[in-house]
Amino acid sequence: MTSQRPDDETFLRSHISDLPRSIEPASDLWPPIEARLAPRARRRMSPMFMQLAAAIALVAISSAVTWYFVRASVPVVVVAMAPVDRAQLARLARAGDVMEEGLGSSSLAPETRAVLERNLVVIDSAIAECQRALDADPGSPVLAGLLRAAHRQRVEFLQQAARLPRS
Amino acid sequence: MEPDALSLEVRRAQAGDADAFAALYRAHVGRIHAVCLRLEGDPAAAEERTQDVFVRAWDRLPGFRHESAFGTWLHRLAVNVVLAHRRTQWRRDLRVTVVEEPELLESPRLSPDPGIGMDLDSAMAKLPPGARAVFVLHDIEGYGHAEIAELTGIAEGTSKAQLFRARRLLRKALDR
Repeated sequence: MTSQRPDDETFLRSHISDLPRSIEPASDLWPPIEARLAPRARRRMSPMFMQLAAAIALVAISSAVTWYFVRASVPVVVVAMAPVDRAQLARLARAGDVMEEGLGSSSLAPETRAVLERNLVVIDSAIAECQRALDADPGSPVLAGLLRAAHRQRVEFLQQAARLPRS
Repeated sequence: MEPDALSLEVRRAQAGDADAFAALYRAHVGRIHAVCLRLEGDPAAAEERTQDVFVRAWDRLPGFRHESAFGTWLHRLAVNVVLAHRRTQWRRDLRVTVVEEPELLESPRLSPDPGIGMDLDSAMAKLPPGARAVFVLHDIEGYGHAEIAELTGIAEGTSKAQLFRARRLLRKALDR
């Protein structure tokens, strides 16, 4: 009688389950990490990022106004808002994440990077706010549109940041 | 560290407390270093990426919204940091053609001393970078092919081909 040879995936499964989840580095990495941590208080805004921040603020304000009218049930004209497309939202979020990580490994000046980070926090907050509202009202095409716009804003911001000169 | 205490450390670190961030580093460095090591396949590069991940995490912490566990967020960040760093090199390695006989694509890198067995981590470190990335992300970290394709910039079919290739090479190494 011959025993059947397991396929590669089955064969490897037991090896994978034996892998340690945690592997300590050979040396303590904290000192070099600590030396690289940017103090959060010393961030200055470059003129280009001030313009970008203003653009973001404009979008945030217009989103907030729209959201106010939606919450207050004030009749507003909504022109052809697309239905909620979670896959599209996820793709936009992922595109932003990938671009952001690309910037993470680029050689931007430290103060430029700090300003970039601070503006991303603003956009992320707007996205979180829209997401929470959409979670509370999942079928709302208006909220989906706002969330989509916020994600697009993030991607466009990162695209502009990617074009900045490197140090 | 207990989850509640960890959550407190996260909030303190978000407010700029470097000591709290050091505590988070101690709690998570093993897991983060493990994923960096498996994706990079090289201890020195893995230590560099681990540093990058924590520096990046410090920069991004103010935007962490507690919608997922900090460990999950950090792990995802680690994958993104490693992939972003390696993307240019991997893009070259990942451009493979699906063929009937994957052995034709195999790298001579995975042909160490015959008769000497090895563990899975050692075998993975000897995989070609593209195949290693897909194997680690799919079989160890649980990502789907669509997600891997998006993260690495390759086609889903290429991801599947790389996974097939990685499993075949690993089995050959471990069967010895």
